[in-house]
Amino acid sequence: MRILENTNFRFIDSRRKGYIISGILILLSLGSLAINGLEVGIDFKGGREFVIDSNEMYDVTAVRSVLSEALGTEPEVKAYDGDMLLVRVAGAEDVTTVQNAIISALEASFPETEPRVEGTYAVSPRFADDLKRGAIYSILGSLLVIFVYILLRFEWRFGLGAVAALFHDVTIVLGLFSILKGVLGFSLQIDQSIIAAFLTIVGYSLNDTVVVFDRIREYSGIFKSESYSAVVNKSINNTLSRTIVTSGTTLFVVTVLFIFGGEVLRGFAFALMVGVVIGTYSSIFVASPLVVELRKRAASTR
Amino acid sequence: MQGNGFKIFLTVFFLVLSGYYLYPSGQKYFLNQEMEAMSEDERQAFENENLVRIRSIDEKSLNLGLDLLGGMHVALEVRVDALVRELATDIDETFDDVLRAASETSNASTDGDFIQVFVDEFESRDGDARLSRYFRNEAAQITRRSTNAEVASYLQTEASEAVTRAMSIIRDRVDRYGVTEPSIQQQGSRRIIVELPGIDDPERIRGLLRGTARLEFRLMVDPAENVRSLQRLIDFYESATDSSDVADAAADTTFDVNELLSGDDGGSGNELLDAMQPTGQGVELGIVAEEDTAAVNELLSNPAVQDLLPRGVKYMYTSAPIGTTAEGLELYRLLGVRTEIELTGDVITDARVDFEQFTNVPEVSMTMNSEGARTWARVTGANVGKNVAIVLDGVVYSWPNVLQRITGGRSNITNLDSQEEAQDIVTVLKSGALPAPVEIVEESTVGPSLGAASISAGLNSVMFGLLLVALFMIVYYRSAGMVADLALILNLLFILGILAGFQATLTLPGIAGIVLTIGMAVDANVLIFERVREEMSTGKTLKASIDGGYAKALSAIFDANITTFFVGVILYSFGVGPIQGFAVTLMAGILSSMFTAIVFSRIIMDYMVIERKVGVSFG
Repeated sequence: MRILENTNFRFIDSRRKGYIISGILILLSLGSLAINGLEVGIDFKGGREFVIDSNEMYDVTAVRSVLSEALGTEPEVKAYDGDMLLVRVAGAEDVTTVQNAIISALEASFPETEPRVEGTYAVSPRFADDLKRGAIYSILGSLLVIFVYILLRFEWRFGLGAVAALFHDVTIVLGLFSILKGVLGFSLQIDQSIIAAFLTIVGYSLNDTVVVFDRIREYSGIFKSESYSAVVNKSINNTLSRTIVTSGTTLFVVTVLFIFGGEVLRGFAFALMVGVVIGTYSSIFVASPLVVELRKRAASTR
Repeated sequence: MQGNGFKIFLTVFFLVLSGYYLYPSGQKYFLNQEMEAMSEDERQAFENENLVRIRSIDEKSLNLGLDLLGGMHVALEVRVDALVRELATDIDETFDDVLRAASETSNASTDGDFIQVFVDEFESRDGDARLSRYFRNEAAQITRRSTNAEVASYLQTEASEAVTRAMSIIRDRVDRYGVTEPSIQQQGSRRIIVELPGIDDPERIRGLLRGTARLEFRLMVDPAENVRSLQRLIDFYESATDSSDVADAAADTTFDVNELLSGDDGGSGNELLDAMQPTGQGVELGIVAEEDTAAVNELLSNPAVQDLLPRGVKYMYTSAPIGTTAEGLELYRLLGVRTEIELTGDVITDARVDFEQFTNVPEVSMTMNSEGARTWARVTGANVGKNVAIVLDGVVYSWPNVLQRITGGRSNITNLDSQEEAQDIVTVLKSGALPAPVEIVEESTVGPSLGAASISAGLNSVMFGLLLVALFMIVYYRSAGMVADLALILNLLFILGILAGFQATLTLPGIAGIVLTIGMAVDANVLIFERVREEMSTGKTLKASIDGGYAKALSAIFDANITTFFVGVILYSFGVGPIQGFAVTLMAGILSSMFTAIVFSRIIMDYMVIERKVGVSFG
């Protein structure tokens, strides 16, 4: 069985279209990030989170108003995994106090549900700062390592192309999280696991890019008589089959994770799913064309 | 066999190694099956007999994270600022100011050395400031003449010792509570990470971990003085709402004028009476509802009223409420105790849960050492007919009337809610007082059903992921695909073996990492197989194509996987908790998938093509 072998799509020639699509996506993402912003999880914001199990499903709106009164501030209330409830409260109050307040309020207003706390997660502001710092270092560290690595393995133009593709990917995935904030049924909050998903996307997206670059380098040596654009185009076409198959299998497993992985992993799996798709797209339509552009620029200034 | 000898050796070696490390996990599984089939008694007996064996199997088998097992994870931070304050004498406003400023600054940097920040802050305010003014310790040779640097290093030593002591105290408390396989580790210079699997009462644990267990025996306020003070206080706050006094109050900037002006629902106009029900009976000042306790504290700590209170007396609440109001608010007594501490928990040598003779109510009975017994005898002897307060962590548990001189060095803590409370107090008393307060900066508890849900979610994902990928490989690459699938299964074994070998913990994100690896592991095979197809299309023989394919794909495989590996390393270094589990499986998965794709599948291929002369199709 073959998929997309011996293709001869004109990727480089039609790269303008790619630029336009990418440009639109990036603009939309940046716009949404500026206007809508991102939902930040308690990992980075601090707060208390409770998973409450019960015998029946709750009416989220009713619960929210009952708890607002009991707690003094409006908590975030979401349905969780069937008939469970997820309650998030900002602030740094004693966990036991908040927990008791929630349970007694629920027991008073919805006695037939017999609420009980199944899980809690509390982060104090000081710890949240630590996690934030850790996340930022992770991101910066990864970008640095990757850029240096590409620089060492390939020339600087490839490095720029790869990094541009990475920024492209992360911006669009973040933008998607921002656009879909609160829309989808599962949590799209930015927490530690989402940061990990982003970094994994970054590392993984580089795979495709590197494979194409590797082929470009190989073909540059073989097809010396052809134009650079043609060489790059040929490289992309020849690695297309492999890129699609690999991305495809990764997409399979990540989708499995999304469906079967449980509520905890859903946001994480979603980020990975979107990331794999965008990452593959960017390897073909962003990284390689950019390398061509940079080469052209260099050639024309000579 | 064609230079594959080394490759075969490697594969078998890793296989055996993985098997060795995973063996205890398998043992544990079967042991659990066995034990479940037994009756309760049989199981007890079995456990007692084989305790050592069971323990060692537990230790060596694969660790499951708390998000899968259920349990409680707590990050405690030793409040070094509180410790510094306690070590200091003759505290003045400057000291408190600097302390507060230093607290804020050092919070900005995680493992920030609080002591250094504190010293710097002091020196920045006044270059000539001598820390020795506040800190004296003969044993550590800190005197009036010590330099700031010497004091700083003394404080550092105290702080790190406090953290170490806190850790061992907490470990002791956790052991007494009775948790199976707890994990207590220090993180950084002042954090302690505690992991307790299978906890079902997080509230008790919080109390246990945080309780400083400061036990104090104090004499109490003279009832006559108490009544006089009460009247003076009432009068003060009565007149404080008078407009003429408000003007005076406004001139004094140390308290909030608006607070005085705004009464509680405009009650009686007297702020104190709004928050407290005065009784003035014996050592009791009044009765306060739970929500008003903070307000009363503020009113009493108002500098203007300090002179009105009896000298050498402070007011503390009782531990247990005496009742509830109609609205369900709990009421506490406010009692006057002397600031001077007669005896502390240091003298307690033993504590036990006892049951009161007639009512069977639980209480804690304590025994003192000889020195403590002597002091106790003196104190009780000199105060027959008066009350002595038994204070634990700043709250009065009981204040019995001394009937006679107590010589046996025995004493009780009564007025407890439940046997659990008594048990917990015994635990903290026996393990000792924490050298400095600890704060819970992060905690997470996972109930058993959440944990079980995560386990099944994880297993399902792995199963379906594996199935899907395996099927695809066979469909797309035919018999070569089957070889790749074999490599995939070996892969999983190796990953688990690595986890077990390094005593790493498998968390739900870790399982996600394994699922991801299944998808990414395919990549290496794909790279090789695509190359082989290419080689074959140029007309080479099967064997030559395989050779060429493996050779050429090598650099691409390496390049492709190394970046994801780097990300794994970074996530492991900066990540906290379950994310580290993800990073570990990611890294392990990459290493093992590279190995199985390059080494293992090559062996199989060569075997099939060369030895068995079977045509391997590449789809």
